[in-house]
Amino acid sequence: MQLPRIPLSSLPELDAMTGAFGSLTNPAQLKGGEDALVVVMVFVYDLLHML
Amino acid sequence: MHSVQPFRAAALPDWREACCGPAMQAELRAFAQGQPLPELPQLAELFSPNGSAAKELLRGLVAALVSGLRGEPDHSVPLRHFLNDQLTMLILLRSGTALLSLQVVQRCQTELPGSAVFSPVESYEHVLAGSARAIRLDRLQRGGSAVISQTPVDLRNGMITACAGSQQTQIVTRVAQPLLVLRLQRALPGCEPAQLVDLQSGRLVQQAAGNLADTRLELTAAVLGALDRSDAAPGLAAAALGTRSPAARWQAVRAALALDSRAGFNALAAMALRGDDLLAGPAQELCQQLHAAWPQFGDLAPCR
Repeated sequence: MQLPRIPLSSLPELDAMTGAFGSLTNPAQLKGGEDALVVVMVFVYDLLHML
Repeated sequence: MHSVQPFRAAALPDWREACCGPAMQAELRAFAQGQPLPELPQLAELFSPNGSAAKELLRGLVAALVSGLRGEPDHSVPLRHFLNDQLTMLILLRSGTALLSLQVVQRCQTELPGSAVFSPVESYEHVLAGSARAIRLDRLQRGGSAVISQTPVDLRNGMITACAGSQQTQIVTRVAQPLLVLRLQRALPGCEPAQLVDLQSGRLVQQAAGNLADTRLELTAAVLGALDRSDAAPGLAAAALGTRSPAARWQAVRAALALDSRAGFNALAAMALRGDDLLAGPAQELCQQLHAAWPQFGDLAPCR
């Protein structure tokens, strides 16, 4: 059976978009440490060494 | 140029051994894995209203740091820290997503912000010095819509507060005297997002992944899709039916469909047939659109 190739941009997103982990911080509530940048750096490092 | 180095004084390891030794570190590991605080005696003692353990821990820490800095005054404190114009924080112990930290709140930005972040985090705070006014926010469901209940709290020496999960949070709104707080927290299991909510209307303003694993899946799907890695489609299709958040699983099924429409469509159809899946509705809708555009998908799998 011949199936089509579907362009990613033609596939719908969900109604409510969700940002990356750590992208939602409120300075008035910063309690857990501003680790988002470190976490993203470690993630990118892992990803580069995985591919 | 002379660089600032962490000091190597023996005082800090001694303090760790005495106050946060193997037993407390084991308790923090157990706390990170979900064990309730009352079952962990050393940690629970730090957050006991009449206990002196928190102040003893603080005295030991200050003595160790002062002694270390006296010996090597141009060296930095070897504890991870963070500071901005409102908050200074020292991380005392960490295990997985569990964190024991010491925080000083010097001032606050506004009397009461218009919105607040509710995160899937359980936290306990012990006020060790200072005084401040805070607002406790509880997110309640009334008649199908969210309502934010606000309760003023006067934070003062010896007070213990707790916030359990993504329905409660607390914001300091006025600092009378800088507040010194010992804080214990852990991320809750599951895949609930962190949500920024308007305090007046209870309306959701923005949301973000509540844990790193969800974002890892989303970014992995985006990267593999951009690299046209069709060999990754079966893995992405499996992840789309896995246990991560709906947002991450939706990105996985989109990438799988684009990389290999057979693998992606099978996952989409399975998702559409799951009665208890939050993505069943959007999956059914997309499944029907694909059926209508390319009838051959109808021979592959039904949507309902």
